[in-house]
Amino acid sequence: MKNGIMLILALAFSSIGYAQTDTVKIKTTAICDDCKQRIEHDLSFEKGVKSNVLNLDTKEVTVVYNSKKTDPDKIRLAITKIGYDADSLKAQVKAFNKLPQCCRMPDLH
Amino acid sequence: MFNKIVRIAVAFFCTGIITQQASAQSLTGKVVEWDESIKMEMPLAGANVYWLHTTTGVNSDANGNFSLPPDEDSRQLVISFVGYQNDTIQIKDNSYLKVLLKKSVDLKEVNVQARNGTTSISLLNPLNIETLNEGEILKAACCNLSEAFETNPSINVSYKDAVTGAKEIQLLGLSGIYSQLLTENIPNMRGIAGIYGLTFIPGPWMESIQITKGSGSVANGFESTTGQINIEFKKPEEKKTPRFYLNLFGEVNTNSEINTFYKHKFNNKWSSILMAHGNYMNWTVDRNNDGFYDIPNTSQINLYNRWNYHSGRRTESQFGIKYTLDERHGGQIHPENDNDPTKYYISDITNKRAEAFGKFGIVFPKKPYQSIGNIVQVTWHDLGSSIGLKNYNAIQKTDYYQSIFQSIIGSTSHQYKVGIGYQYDLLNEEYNLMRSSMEQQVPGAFGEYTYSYLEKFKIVAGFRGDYHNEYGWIFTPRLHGKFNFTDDLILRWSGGRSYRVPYAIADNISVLANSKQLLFDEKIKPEEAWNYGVNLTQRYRLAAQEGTVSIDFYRTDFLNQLIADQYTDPSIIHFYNLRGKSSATSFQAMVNQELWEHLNIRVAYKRDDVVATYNGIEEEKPLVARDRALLNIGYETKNQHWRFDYTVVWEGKKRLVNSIADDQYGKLPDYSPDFYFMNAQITKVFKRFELYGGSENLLDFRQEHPIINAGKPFSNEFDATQIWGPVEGRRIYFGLRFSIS
Repeated sequence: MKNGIMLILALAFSSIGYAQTDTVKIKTTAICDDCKQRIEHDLSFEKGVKSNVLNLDTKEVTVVYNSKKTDPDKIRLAITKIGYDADSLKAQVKAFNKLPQCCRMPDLH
Repeated sequence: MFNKIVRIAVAFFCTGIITQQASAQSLTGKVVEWDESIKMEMPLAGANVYWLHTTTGVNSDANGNFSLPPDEDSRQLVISFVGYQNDTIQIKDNSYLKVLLKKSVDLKEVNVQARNGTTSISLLNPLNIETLNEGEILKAACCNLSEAFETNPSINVSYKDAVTGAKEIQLLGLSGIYSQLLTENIPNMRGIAGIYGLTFIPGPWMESIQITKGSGSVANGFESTTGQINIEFKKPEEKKTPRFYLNLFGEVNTNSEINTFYKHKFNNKWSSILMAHGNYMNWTVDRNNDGFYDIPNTSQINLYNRWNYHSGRRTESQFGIKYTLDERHGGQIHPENDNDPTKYYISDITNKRAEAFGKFGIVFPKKPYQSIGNIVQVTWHDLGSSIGLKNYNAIQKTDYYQSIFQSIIGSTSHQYKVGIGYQYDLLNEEYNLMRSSMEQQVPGAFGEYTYSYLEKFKIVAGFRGDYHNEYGWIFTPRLHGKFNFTDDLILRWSGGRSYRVPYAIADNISVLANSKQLLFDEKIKPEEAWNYGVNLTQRYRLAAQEGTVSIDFYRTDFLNQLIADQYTDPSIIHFYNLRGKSSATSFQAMVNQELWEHLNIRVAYKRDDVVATYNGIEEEKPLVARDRALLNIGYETKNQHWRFDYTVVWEGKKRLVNSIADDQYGKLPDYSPDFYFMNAQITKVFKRFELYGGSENLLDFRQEHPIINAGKPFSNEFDATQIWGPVEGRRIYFGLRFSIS
């Protein structure tokens, strides 16, 4: 029993020890609070994404991810699937058309 | 000669000062707004311009111009105006400044909210308001309003008796009938609707709840004594309202619920939302083996449809209709085919309620501080109840109308509201074949003046006069105010008079849950009370984490009160007007602290000293806990995929009174024991839906014998009203929330 607990603990710590976390900043086309919520919520369910925060002033989303499970290109692709441009990658039209009105406004802001 | 020198010196000195002032130049500038209709900048007169954290400030003149002496300590200039977003500018030099203020999205007062806080206390509002937003409402299993306060220390909710399932809230130590329940600022659930009304507002329909302590604004009438509880429903015109929402909820004891709504935006002007709620429970639970249902079986259907029309510039209208059908069956457990009410003590209650409301508002785009609001509401409520051998049936119709004009005198430092209103109330009651009718027609008018000195000091003086068809003139003065010592420390005070025509049986519905006769000793007069209190709220930072401390002290003194005296006479409940003292003193201290990111803790302690005079003897009010403490811990994982919430409430002892000979359980002790009540909930967030599960009354603590002489329900010694603790044991529930935005 005691050994079992030790093993679990050892495993838990080792996984923390070996997890390769990296951070990437990606420029998006988010406009309003709705966009922020959408991107943050959906991105948090992408494989390998540990946390992400979008700054509406700079429109940049800062993503902390496990580099063994994903990479910045995959994250960019995921953002386009939510309906937003990610750096030079264009938003997927089908997803963009499903966004609420505010998020579909031409870039007046 | 000497004189002359002095004069010259003084003159020199003065010019010196003047030139000095001129050299430490005043900051000059202009406040403007963008008028979309004429595509031009327009000056804003009367805007507040002041140095942050100071009292140095001016108002902009008719052309929007201002000139402000410099301040040694502050280089941050704040420009504010009601209806516009505040702007804070870092001033580097004294060059001419042009400030463009943006209109705020709505005209509501801006609330400063603690980060991630699900409950917030405004640091600007002169009224002591706690706002419970959706995050807080979700913390309870929350089938309805009666469960929404489980994580809030200010309000406690308890059963009124062990038979009917009626619940009562307490604010500042006094029964919920002394606080005013409002739905979107319209008085609601009055009279007979108040008995079961808390369960008629489903949790998922609510967007937020505002609890105002102390006597509130005169605008909502003369009734609120201890405070106001305002419910805001989900609105069709608001972006954050999902397009479609579905909530399924199930309890291990077969209670199941469904909540759903659908929102549709027809065009830029019209939008609508349709909400539905249903719950059904059919489960015979009698854990203490007293032959009675521990909780009555209930079923409810509730429908609400509301519309919003936005003309684009000047007017906004809302209207809606609501219908509720609620049935509850409790009392003694009996065979399905034998429901003879003389053989079994059976409680059968049916509520039918319809509401319709309309609101029509006019705003003035050129004068954002000015508006006209009109409110109309009609309600109809039909209550049928047979509890043991006592039958109480009633129909109540209420009409409510109100118009308010709001504007400023000169600048936004002087704001005022004036209004007229009319309330019609018709109650037809029948108690054990005795019929009575009460008709109330109350036209009235009010005025409220607000003086504000920048954001620092505010005083609100209100006065209201109403004419009651039976009781004549009713005058209601109210005064409240606030002082911000700093941006983070606010002192609020309030005082005011209230007036209320009691509904003798509806207000004291538990009188039906024993065998005593009801006797009106005299003609019942309206209830009158004074309430006054202070609140001090401090926001602080510990390392990087924010917290607030809030201390309340309130006192209510009744000039007249309807006393339903169950204690003096073993076989009769006497109704009479207060002779002597009746008061409630309430103290509360609460700390909200973010321990580290995503982990919030709330600790509160409350003390209520409530006394009333029964038959000439001044006594501590029975069945009221003098001490109460609450601890709530909420944690959300960083990726927001999991939420955990835990609440424990400690309720102190309550005074018990032996008013009848009790041969089954012996004499009641002088005080009930104290107890702990624990709730916990876990939510897992998925990409498109949420699952949650939890438990109420985790410790499974119950009052063992809530019914006195349960074995002889038709005897004079039967009494189901002496409730001091939970009657239902541990509840375990699961739920699903799904929404499309």
